[in-house]
Amino acid sequence: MSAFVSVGNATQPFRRLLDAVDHLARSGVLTGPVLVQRGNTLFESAYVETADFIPMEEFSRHILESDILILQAGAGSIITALANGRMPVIVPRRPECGEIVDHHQLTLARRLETAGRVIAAYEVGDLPSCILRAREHDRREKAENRPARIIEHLKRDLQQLVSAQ
Amino acid sequence: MKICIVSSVGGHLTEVRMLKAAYSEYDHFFVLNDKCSLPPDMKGRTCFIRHSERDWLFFVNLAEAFSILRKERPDVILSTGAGPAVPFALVGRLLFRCTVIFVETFTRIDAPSLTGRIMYRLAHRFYYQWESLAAYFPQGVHCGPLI
Repeated sequence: MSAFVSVGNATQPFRRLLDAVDHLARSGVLTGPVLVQRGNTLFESAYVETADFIPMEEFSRHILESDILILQAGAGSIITALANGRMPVIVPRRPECGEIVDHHQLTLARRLETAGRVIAAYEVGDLPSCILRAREHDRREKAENRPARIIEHLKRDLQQLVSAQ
Repeated sequence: MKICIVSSVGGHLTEVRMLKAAYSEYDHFFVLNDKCSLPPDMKGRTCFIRHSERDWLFFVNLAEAFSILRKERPDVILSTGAGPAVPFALVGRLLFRCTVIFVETFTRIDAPSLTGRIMYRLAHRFYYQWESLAAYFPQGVHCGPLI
């Protein structure tokens, strides 16, 4: 079972998550290949593969293909995961740990978890159980198969404008 | 019918591309505020403006918007944010009679974004995804989650 982990592009590091991932790989909770996108976090591990930054298309491919997703609770990462029909494990950066300036990742994580779209690990100790829950609920349903109402709204708007021309 | 799709790179771009089923049948082009590797369906139809972060570069963006809109003459300006939407909406609406359509981002659940608050005043059609924002956008349309 492959895993993809991402901390995004923020200047602040996120060692708390990556040290936990290293531990999960070492102890065999994560059994398959693990790729860690580490951004600006200083991190090395003998148990996972690392990349600093990943171009958008490759990032989307990992999001689509990896069995397990563990992502910082950043808007961009979450949107990409959800747009690709995945239910990711998201880990909010905490301001008191120097990982981010404010609480917006915590707020986003709580609200999306309540809406049933993500599994949130607020403490890294929650990761093993969160990974299990994500595997249970991850339908991998592409967004195209869940038509959004906005598409109908927009099509109508554009058709009306064409008719008025 | 020609559509100008304005977006920040990253999450906003992923989000606005979710609207492809609506815009792809029409002539369209993209305006981005940072270089990034472009997927095949955006190659050859994307231009780039300077990346402003609520600073003086906003005025550069106004000039860039004027130049691009004068050349392309789109009928519609479409965006989910972030900041680059504002100069295009201003110039497009005031000078080129563009119809401005804005969708508040998926990630704003309890409180609107600053771009959303501004675009609410500038857009002809304003959509928001979460019911909890209804009080902020009484003239907006709740469309549900885009993703």
